[in-house]
Amino acid sequence: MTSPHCNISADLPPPLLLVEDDAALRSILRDSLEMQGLRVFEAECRKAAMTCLSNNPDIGVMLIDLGLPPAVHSTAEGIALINAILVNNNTAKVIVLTGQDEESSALAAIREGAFDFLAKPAQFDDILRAVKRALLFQRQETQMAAEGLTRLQINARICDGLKAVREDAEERLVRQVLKETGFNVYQSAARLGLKRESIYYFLKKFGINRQDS
Amino acid sequence: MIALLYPYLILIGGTILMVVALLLHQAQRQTERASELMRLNETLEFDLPDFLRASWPDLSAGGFTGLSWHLVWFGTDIKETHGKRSSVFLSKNFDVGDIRLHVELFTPKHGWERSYFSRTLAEKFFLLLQMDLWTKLGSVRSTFEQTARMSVFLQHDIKNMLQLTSLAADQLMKPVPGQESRLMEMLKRSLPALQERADRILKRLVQSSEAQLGARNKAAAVNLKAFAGNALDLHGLPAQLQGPDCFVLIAPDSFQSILDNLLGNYVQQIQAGNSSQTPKLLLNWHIHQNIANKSDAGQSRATDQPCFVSIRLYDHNGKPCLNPERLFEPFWSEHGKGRGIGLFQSRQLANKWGGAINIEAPIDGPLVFIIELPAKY
Repeated sequence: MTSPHCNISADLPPPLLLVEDDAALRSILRDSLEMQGLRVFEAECRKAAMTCLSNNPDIGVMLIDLGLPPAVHSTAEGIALINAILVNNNTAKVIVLTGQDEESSALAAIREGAFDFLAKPAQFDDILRAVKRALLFQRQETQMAAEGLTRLQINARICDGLKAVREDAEERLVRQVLKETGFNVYQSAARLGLKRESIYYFLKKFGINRQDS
Repeated sequence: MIALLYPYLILIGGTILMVVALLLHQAQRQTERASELMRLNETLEFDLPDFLRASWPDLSAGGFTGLSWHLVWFGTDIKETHGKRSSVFLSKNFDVGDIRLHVELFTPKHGWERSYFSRTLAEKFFLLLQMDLWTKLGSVRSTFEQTARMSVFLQHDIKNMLQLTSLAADQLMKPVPGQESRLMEMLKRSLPALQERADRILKRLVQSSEAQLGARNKAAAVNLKAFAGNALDLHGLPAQLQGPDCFVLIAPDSFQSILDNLLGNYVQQIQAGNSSQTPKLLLNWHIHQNIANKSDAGQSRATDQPCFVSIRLYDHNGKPCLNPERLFEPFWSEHGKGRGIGLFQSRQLANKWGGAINIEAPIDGPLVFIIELPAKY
């Protein structure tokens, strides 16, 4: 059995989560990134990645392979992972590094909210550049959040109309602010300029509970 | 008075009998011709060009004066004419995929009954040609699909290997100052891993034909509960495991392959929405002395194997299987994403180890996989 695990390497910021099922490739990628002064966590499957992410909320960038066990020959697990990250409103930037069919994988990954896409085999310089760019964006967004600005990512279908888009944006914003305030309803209401009752209304409307956030 | 009519009635009756006998004889001859054409086609393994070339003697015996055909066979033009052309002919055009065929069968000018029998034989001949054409196209398409699927599976491993070598080369070309010893350590670790990857690719290639070549690895006593539990866990499938402690006598690789194929298939069914939304997977087993399906069993069964384990795997909340006959058909994939070879290979592997894989597919109940393997306890 390959048990989910999450190893912490050197104690150097900024943190990055590497999700790759191929142990040899994962090891060399981790070494290469650590030699560049990056702090790297690693996971081999979606479950391990989500566990690692919840245990280490400061992870800023995720470098993931789309072909993860048990479906290593399809993009299903990787896409599900990106989707789970987005649903959980995690601010980590996702870089996809995959050997799956380039065009369809890139489209699917970007649709689910991936920050960047690299096709295997990629040069290490390209990987490093993508990681640095993602870290820069993540830092800027963290700074924006500290200033009260929240960046939301919404996939809107025009045919759904404005109401659907507004509701999606509302839900994401409420989830995001609740996450940032550690599920503190009072602070969230203050940040959003709402009454606490409105926050409770949204919690009920969108079925948000503490575990989600 | 009526007695005067007897000779005429006898004459008319005799004539009718003769005509019927003649027609029956002709019909029988044409049936024989058609049967000979079918036999010829089978002998030539349903090969369209060979059949076209070899069919003329039977068609000639069937009363046709000539055969002319123009075949475009995957871009190559072939034309042939046998016998004599005439102004009366039956023709047919076929145009499917990369194959186009125009056939003309020439007949002499003769009465309606001969014309009828000729037309019947010609229709049978055309039907055989059509069958050969679709058989060829089917096998070509299937081979292409199989190659494409295998390619997808191999690409995954090869791209990972390329990525690994590319990273190692990048690090060697531009070593980070002060990290030389770590780089050496990394290479020491990664090179054996690279070798392992290459072995895995080779193994995967060999695995495709393992079922046909026979399982070569040595059998081991595999703890069923622990092994199946790990496989279920790897596929993220919570399941209830029930059965006595026992050991399956099989190569771990083969057993892993069997379980991976069955469970992987089930996961894909869930993802495709073809299974229950609240899966309740059950895996139970019991020990018995005789295997249910002995068709292919016994090839590698050791004499000291005292019993078998019968493992039943099913989703209690699963939907009925609509096409059970297709499950073990090679290169048939319901969702089109798989190679369509997994279950077929699993059954072959189980057979090679002296076991079997069968199914129970009730109309109103979930599909049950029954894996029978040699075991001890």
